[in-house]
This record gives sequence, C-alpha cells and structure tokens, in this order.
Amino acid sequence: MYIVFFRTILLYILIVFSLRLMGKRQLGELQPSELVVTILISNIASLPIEDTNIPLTAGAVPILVLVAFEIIISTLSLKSLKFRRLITGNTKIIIKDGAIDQKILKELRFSIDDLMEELRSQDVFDLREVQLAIVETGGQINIFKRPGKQEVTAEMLNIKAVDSSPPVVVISDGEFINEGIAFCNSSKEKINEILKQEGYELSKVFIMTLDASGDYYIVKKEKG
Amino acid sequence: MIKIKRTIFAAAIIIFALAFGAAALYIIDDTKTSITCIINDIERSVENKNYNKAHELSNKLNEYWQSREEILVYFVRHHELDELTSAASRLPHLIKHGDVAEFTAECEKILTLINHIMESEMPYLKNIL
Repeated sequence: MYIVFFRTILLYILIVFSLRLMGKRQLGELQPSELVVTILISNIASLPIEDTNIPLTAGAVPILVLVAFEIIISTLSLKSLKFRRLITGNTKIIIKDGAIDQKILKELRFSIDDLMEELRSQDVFDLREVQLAIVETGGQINIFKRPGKQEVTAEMLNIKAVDSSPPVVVISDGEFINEGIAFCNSSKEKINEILKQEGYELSKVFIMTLDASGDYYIVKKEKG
Repeated sequence: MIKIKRTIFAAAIIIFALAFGAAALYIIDDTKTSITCIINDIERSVENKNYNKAHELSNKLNEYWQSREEILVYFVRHHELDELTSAASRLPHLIKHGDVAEFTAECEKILTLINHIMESEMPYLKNIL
C-alpha cells in the first residue's frame, strides 16, 4: 500500500510539473494535439499507480516524452504556418452576413441545436442578430453581431472615456504582491504611506487593490 | 525566450528518454550475456557430472541475479523478474538434492526468460506494433 501511496505522490508532482511545463494555454483552451496529450497523460499515470508490477519509469518516461513532444510540436507550429494548419486545423466561418453556411456546418458535424446552444450561451437568441460566426480551431464559436445589435459603446455616443487601468491586488493576506505593485507603477513605500494614512498595519490587511490612478480599496483581516 | 527555453528543455527530455532506453538495453544485454555464460558453465559441469561446481555456480548465478534485479526493477515489468528470481533461487537446492533433470530444466527456463526480457525490450517493429 505504501508503494501505491508514494507512487501517487510522485506521479502527481510529475503531472503538475508537466502541465506547468506545457504552459497556461494547456489549461485554458485545448487544441486537438493538447487534448490528445492530456487524455494520454491521465491514462498513463493511472497504470503504474494501479499495477505495482509496472515500473514507475514506465509511467514517468512516456509522460515526460509526451510533454516534450507537445512543446516541440507547439514550437514548430509557431514557426511554420503550414505545420500549424496541419496540427490545429483552420478556423471555419459558419455564419457570414447573417447566412448559415450549411455545407460547413455539415462538414464540422455541427447540428443546428449545437449552433443555437452556443449562440444562446453568448446571449444571442435570434440568428438575424449575427453578422459573422467563426468556429475556432479549439471548437468554440465566436460571433460578431450586426452593427445595430451591438452593445452601445462610449465611442458610439461620442462620449470621451477616461483611460483607466484595472485595479490589481497589491497586498494579499498581509503580504506585498510585487507583480501587482509593479503593474500600477507604485512602490512598497507609497503603499505603506497609504496604510499609515488610513491607520492600517500591513499584517492586518486581508486584501488591498490599487490602480494606476492611485485609487485604492482595503479590506481588513477579520479577527480569529 | 521562454518558449525557446522550454523547447531546449523538451529536447533535453527526449535525449534523456533515449539515453535512459539505451542504458536499459545495455544493462539487460549485459545481464543476459553474464547469465548465459554462467548457465553454459553450469551445464558443462553437469555434463561432466561435477555437481559440486554446478552447485557453486548456481549460487553464484543466484547472487548475480539478485544484484542485477535491483537495477532491472526500474525498467522491466516486475512479474517477469519475479519468475526469473523464483527459478534462480531453486537451482542450488535442486542440484544439492541431485535432481539433475529438474535442475537442467530450470537452467533452460532461466535462459528463455532472460532472452525473452531482452527480446521484449528491443525496439523491433514487432514489439512496437
């Protein structure tokens, strides 16, 4: 039982390391080749855990090779458009100027229900609202609404909008977040000054957000 | 830059995997050669009815196999190794009690098993497919 226990821990560490090595893209959106690697890794990892007759290396080596191969393939895809097309395929336009391309829909084996479901998930209930719909290589559908159906923007109304950066976390659970401080061009000294001004101690701050204009929001830690 | 670094790391992993495979094959081949050599000596001793030497050699084989098994467990399926361990551990007792026929049969079994381990690890098309 201890063998299974230690093997599980080792493989867990290896898989976390492998997914980190593959990069953030892997976790968010799966391209066909990435989906294959993910499925294979989960299957391969389970074999040496379940069967102690199988050496751990028989699970670890294929996982590492798959990850390495995936990285090499993605690097090659980045360098060659032809290779990228071969591996990830092309995007497909399924609605153009409001007209559904039934041939492409059939080619992609997308039913009208799949299409409508995807449109509804993007708050589109009337097909006539869509000017352009594209099926991405990862399978998700992105739409561009007709001009008359698009959300009103400040630009459309000729309102001058002030450029602002979003607030970022600069203190989390009593500790400075250096990336956040750098993002809003601030410094620890400046933040300490704000804390002093507001009567807070760094260790007592649960979260503090700050934006580039200097606007901040502080949440104090709860007692206990 | 990070992508390039990752690519180099990925290439290093591939090289490591290939080197690991080559090292595994080398160790299995070396083990196979040594075992075949000892078994041949044992069989010659048995043919010459020198059972004391056969007993001595079978002990030597057993010790050698135990030391090798510790390394082979890292890359060979354990049940194949267990079978060979079981056969090797029987040899000294069989010859000690004069069961020559069974002893010779076990020697052949060991040869077959080690050859099978080597054959099944070779990157031949029949093994890959």
